[in-house]
Amino acid sequence: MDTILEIEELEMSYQTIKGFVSAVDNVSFKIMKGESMGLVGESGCGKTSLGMCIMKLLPENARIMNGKILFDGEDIVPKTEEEMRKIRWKGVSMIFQAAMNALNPVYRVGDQIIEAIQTHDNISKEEAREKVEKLYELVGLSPERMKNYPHEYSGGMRQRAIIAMALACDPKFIIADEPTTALDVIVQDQIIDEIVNLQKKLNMTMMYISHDISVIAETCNKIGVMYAGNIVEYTYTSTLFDNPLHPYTKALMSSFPSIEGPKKELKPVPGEPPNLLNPPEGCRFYPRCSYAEEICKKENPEFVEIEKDHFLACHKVI
Amino acid sequence: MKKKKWKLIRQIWDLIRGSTFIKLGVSIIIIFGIMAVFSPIWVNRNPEIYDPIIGVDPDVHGSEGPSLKHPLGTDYIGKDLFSQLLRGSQIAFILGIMVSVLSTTIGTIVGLVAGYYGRIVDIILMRLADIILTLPRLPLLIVISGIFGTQSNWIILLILSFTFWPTISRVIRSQTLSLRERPFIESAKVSGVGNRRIILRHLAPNVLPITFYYLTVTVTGAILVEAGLSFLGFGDPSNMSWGMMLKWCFTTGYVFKAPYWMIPPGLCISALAFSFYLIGVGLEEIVNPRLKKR
Amino acid sequence: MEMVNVEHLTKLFPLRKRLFSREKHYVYAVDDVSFKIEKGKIMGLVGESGCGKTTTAKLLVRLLDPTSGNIYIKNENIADLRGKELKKFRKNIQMIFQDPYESLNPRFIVHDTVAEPLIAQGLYNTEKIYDALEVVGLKPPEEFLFRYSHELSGGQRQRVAIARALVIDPIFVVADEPTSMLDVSIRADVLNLLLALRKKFDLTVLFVTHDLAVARYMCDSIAVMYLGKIVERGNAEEIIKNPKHPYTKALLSAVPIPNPKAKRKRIKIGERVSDAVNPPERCRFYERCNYKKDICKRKYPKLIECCKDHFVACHLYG
Repeated sequence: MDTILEIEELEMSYQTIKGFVSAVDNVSFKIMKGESMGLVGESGCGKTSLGMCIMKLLPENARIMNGKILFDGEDIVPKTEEEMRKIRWKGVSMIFQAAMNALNPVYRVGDQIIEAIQTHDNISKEEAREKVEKLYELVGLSPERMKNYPHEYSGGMRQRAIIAMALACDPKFIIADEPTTALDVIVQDQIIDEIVNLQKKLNMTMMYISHDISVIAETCNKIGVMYAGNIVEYTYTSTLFDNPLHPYTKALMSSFPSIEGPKKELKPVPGEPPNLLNPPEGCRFYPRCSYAEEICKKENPEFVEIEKDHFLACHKVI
Repeated sequence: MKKKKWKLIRQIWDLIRGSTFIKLGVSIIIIFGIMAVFSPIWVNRNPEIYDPIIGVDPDVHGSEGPSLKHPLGTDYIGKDLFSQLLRGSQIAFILGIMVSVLSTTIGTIVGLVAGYYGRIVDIILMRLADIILTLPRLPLLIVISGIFGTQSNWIILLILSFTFWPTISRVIRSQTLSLRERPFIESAKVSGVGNRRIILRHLAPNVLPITFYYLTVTVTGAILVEAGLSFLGFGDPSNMSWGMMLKWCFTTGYVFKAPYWMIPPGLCISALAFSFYLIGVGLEEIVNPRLKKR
Repeated sequence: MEMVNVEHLTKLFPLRKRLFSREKHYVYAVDDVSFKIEKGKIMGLVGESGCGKTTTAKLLVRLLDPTSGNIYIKNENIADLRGKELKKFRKNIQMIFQDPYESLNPRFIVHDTVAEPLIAQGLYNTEKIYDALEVVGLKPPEEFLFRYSHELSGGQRQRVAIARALVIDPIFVVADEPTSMLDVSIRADVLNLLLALRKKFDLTVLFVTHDLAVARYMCDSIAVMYLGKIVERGNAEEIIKNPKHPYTKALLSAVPIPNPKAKRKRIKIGERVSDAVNPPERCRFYERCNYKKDICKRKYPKLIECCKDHFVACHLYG
């Protein structure tokens, strides 16, 4: 099995007036070809930052302090912007949050995708157009709609167009960052369905970032739970739901109401996530953890494989 | 609520200290402020010679260059230029600030009322603002002066305030329009807060940053416009201002012969106008990132 | 005891389709909506964007004036109240808004925000402010009184908003998506807080949300809205487990479930085509319905009781 993406001990911080904010800390994991990995966590946990690191689409004040991002075996951390431009869209492609607002309102949608293709592939306009037609059919849009402008599309249609654009250059790997957050329930469901179908059809390798564990449970076969810049647990979806080990994972799961099954009481986690300007020395979940012990205060636990394909960073359980 | 007042003051003080523009602007203003305050002291040395309007030095015939007795020299009939400059400083401050306060107050009130109540009130007020904006200042000044039979600084004050407020009201109105729809205003309505209180207590403080900005740049505008009007001969003849100094220099033919006469007032107009503008820029810097801050 | 009784509530917004058109077009944002809420109960108003739930919420707190219909709060009709009488009655009805940042005046400290309703109603009393902050969990109140809203976290801001709503002891509270902009774990906290407050003060609540799982958790009864109409209404658990209206069924089938083992059967319906402008006399859901009959095209189905305490507006049921 090919390893499409391998992250090794990645550390990324943002430089602010007040100091360094540690956004990604000691993150390591692998994604194989054809896998879909979900990255779940609350706002500020670093999941979007991690996604941006992989695309190397970082703002000016972001610094990758340490670690490697091996894309198809090559470390992309030292690569220049020029080199990254060749990898983006063809190697790694991204569906951003609120991507539907990323369409230029004064150009026809079809033309925008054609342009994206021609920038990366040396093919004629006609060939590009044919490609876009096929993509439209693939994502469930009528090819006739290529000549429409973004405002003539509904929210769900725009999102499908964005997905089409992300797939345009046959990327090996797609990162989807909250692609359905701004959509209504029924439309969200259709898009999720589309993504799952595409993933199966194209054997796509995917990373799906979201705060909604329900959506991730339905789209991904592996889940990484992120908290305050660390990945605290990483395993198969079914394993995670059957046997969540990290206290934060357990707490997160009991925070989601469901329409299925009996009505359970939600048990939220008290407190707030830590300030990442001065991250605590020990485990970052320590102040809110009901299983905390002395060692948790002093040492940030290592991220280790405790059983096959089940990684965890917790003193108590290990 | 003493704690809160101190907190607010300290926040403002920190912001001011942080801005180079404001510090620079304030420094220049302080210099001119000192000049304005110093004016009567200078005159009282010997009012017969140093009074900027009626004082004249009998030993001097025609315009002379700077000397110990007259630091900036004298004008064409022997009046001390330095005292004229100091008086001009007073006038610039008083006129500038009064115009600014008056026009900004009117503009803010009109903007808030038009923006909040909307519909017919908005239409009437904004049409009025539009009409006033089309009025040319100089002819207006001439007409009003003619009606009152006098060219006085008070009339200049009124004309300037009258012609400055519409622009301000436009900006305040658009800000009010956007604020009006925000949930915290809806929340106030749901609680039963009356319209007047909503405008004064909820909307006004949120447009205040823009008001402060206009308070400063309007002074700039007022100083410059007054200088222009005086230069053209429509200033208050019973008083002295920098613009009038330039006028006298020009009309008595000394414009190329007496740089000590022409340069100082011009420099002062530019410097003081600019200093208020700098403060405005500094304020804008402060206002903008704060609005975006979450 | 009935606390809230809404009868045939309608709100039309005039639209001018062309600049000089003489035709009057109206958006039927809320169309002949009726429901009752018992004292101490929470009713959920669910639907997708554009269904009219937020407009209904605003009508109930009289931020908008109804075009027609009656709103009885404790047997007094507030639909036509104006001026002083309306102001006096506002003491009884309060609202919690969706955006925890925008609903607080950025220039007010917490004290002023919570004091404002008291001042407006002439009931200012420092003790009440302290009590309100304590009851929403902002303890000790002194620590929060002098803070500005931008110094608080999202969860804390929403607590301030709740304190403000409750400080004048209303009998009816309308909550418009109060947790949809909060982080997942904070959301659970605030939801539990609202349930506790409801119990403590015997509050009657209208809870507007697009999230069916949250509605199930919070509400005793649920009303489902579509394009300005209530299409189904009844006991919350009953609606969730036993939906009758085709739209409700489709909506519920689209909710992602935080359980990878649960296989849900999604019901596919067509894209939304019609809007609420000058709707014709027929079922609003007609075009997208999988069960449509001829009568559905000709006549609008009335809301009828199909089972005990379960109302449906659909020709399939009589």
